[in-house]
Amino acid sequence: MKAQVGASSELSLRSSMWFGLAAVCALGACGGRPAYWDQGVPEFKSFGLANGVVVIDEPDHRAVILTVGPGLDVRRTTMPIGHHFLNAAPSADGKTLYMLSAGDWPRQTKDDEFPSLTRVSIVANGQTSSHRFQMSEPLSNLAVDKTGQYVVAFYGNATATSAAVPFTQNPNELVIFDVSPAGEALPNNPVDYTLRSYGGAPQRFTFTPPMSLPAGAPTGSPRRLLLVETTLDLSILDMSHVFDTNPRHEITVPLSNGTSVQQLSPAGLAVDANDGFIALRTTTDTNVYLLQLIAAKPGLENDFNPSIDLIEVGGVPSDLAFVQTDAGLELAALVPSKSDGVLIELSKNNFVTTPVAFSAAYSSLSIVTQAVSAGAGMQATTDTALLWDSTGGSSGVALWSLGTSGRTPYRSVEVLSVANAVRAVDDVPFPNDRLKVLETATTTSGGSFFVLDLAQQTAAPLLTTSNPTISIAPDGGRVWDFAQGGTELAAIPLDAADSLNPIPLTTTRSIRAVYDVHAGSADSNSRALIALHDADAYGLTVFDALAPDAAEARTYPALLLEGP
Amino acid sequence: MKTLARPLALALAFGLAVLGARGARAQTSPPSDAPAPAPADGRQELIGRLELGYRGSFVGSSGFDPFSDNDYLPQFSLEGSRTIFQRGAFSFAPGLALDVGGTSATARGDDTSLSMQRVEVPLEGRLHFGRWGYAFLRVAPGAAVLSAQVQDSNSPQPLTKSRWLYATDLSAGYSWLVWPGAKPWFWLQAEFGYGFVASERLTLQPSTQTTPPVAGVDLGDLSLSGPFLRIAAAVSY
Repeated sequence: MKAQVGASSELSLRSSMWFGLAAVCALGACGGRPAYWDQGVPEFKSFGLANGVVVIDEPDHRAVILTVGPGLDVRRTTMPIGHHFLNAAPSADGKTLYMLSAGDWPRQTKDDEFPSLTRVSIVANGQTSSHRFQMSEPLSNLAVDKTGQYVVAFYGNATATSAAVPFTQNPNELVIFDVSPAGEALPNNPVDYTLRSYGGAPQRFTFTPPMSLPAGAPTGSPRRLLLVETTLDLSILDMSHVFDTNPRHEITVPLSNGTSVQQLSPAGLAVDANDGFIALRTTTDTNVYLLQLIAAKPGLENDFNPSIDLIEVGGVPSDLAFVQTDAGLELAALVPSKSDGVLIELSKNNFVTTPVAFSAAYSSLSIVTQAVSAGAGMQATTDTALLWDSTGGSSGVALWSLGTSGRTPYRSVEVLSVANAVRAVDDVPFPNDRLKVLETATTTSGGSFFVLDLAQQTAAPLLTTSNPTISIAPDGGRVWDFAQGGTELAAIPLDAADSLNPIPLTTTRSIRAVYDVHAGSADSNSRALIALHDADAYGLTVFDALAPDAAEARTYPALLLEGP
Repeated sequence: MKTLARPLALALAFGLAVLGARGARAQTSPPSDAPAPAPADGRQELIGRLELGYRGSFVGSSGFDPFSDNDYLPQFSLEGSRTIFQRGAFSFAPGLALDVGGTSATARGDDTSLSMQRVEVPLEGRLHFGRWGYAFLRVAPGAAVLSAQVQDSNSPQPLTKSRWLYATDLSAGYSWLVWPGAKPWFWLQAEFGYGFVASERLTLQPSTQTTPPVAGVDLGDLSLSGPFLRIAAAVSY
């Protein structure tokens, strides 16, 4: 019996030991790490700001902020953003980035995040600050006010993944943020606002400059409007009352030419803040819709109301602008189907239209009065418009002088010969704002772009071995061009536009995007170029932007590898 | 190593569980007729031992995450020791031990690897239970060389760092005499403990500099301290 007990004890000891070992060994197969390590790099999303670059790292729910210190020392900082990044847009001054996130939507637990807008600002010394606005529902598109006061989130063309977009949405629901410093103190910021809909959905937003309304009223108070082009109509929202406890409703302007039941869809608008004019064009109608915001009848919610006039311009207009001519304020419309420009006198009640025949069809115009007059060394009282055809149908650009000879094309239109069709016209910031960069249509063999000097009225061609991607330095000093996925790029200094000498540069890895940013201390004039590479965990090559030299560049690999 | 660590641990767990189950089944039918094993009393021997084993360390440091998807560092263990002091059931045996191993993983699309070679001087106190073997307590001061590497195609050279670090193990275990016949004797041994390794900032740099110069990457602090287990087979003479 004693022997049996002894044998049993021995076996128990052995069994316990084996089971203990088994349990501990099994633990070796357990454990883990945060999931983002396994998720690889996200879809490449980067945004250039004046003082740095923001790379979105969605699996980590963070923004990686890249700033450049003295000696091309790139600093990497991270900032949490909302879960499920949707979209982002920079402010007009390039100092702030607004980022929309869907959050953990629909929320399943109390810990799940609400949708949000994160505002990230980078100051010149590389310091960052952020503020997050909580939203009631995820919206995937942003409209940013150029003055930096308002941001509107809207449904628009949802580009987010299906997981981030609710099953059912109201496309006319907006979330309006006051993103100014004072706005953070507003108790109801952001505010949810639903546009009254007659079947349309918002597609474009325009924040007007301060307008003295009602037009012509001696006591008109300056205020800003939000103009919403839906797919069917125009909505006018008085922003000065949006954050009121009982906000005023918008005014909806249905579009109809009175002769057809065809639905009309807005295609763009122009605003004249001084006289309270809004000019609207549509995708199919040959009329221009001219609205003036005059005093409303007593008893209406808004103190202004649009008076609407339809002005036939002979074809579907492709662009509009209010211009100053020797006859005063006029509306200029481009009608490419007739290779015409049309001037509409606004000082007379009958809106006299004057067609101006061009030698080619131009679809886009931009007012360049200041740049042209600065080159001429005089103060202009009438406008000059730059014309081009962004549809690629016609090549070249033209300058349309809208002074006394504006109605005589052989005297008023100066054609600048550019061999290729112009796809886009990019502004160059001050102090080289006399220049424009003309991006030409893509080709299968090589590419090109032009530096247009409005003062000298010259267009210098720059040829590339493949289709270039253009990036203009925010200080106006340089143009950078590179081929997506290639390793070559070039800097073209603009300070001497009559001698545009490209500086060739190369990187060891393919380039996805380039950003010219402030470098060094806050009071430094240094600048750096960050060329981003999207291979593996991303990398960058940084150059001295003012004296670019590949031999002095530095490479930073594995940008996203650092843990959160 | 990434592919081996988890299956190896699972296989060991399975194997040990099977052995344990066999032991449990044997418990139900005591071997009353089995001949008694030959007397082998380790208490009375000044023994030299050579161990060969497997060490698994659990590393909870977030700095370890880029290199392992399961917080587990497997190592191969080799140890030699010699009893230099004995009184009653107690003995003391110093030795020399080497743990060699590493792990690899993919982190954000980059291939990563980490290895650690640990050299220690185990100082082991033993309490003998005759033919059943002995229990032991061990302190093992030493040093470890840590080598980390990241392969990112944005750097022409791998990003690496190697550093000698102070390391010490504190552990306890049991050594079971499985072959108590004539010398040499064979042992199976299990040991649990905690390994201390000085923490290190993982600032990885390219192994050689190129033009343009490539900056390093900072993966934060890494501490390889953590609990461990070691399973070993030993032979003594």
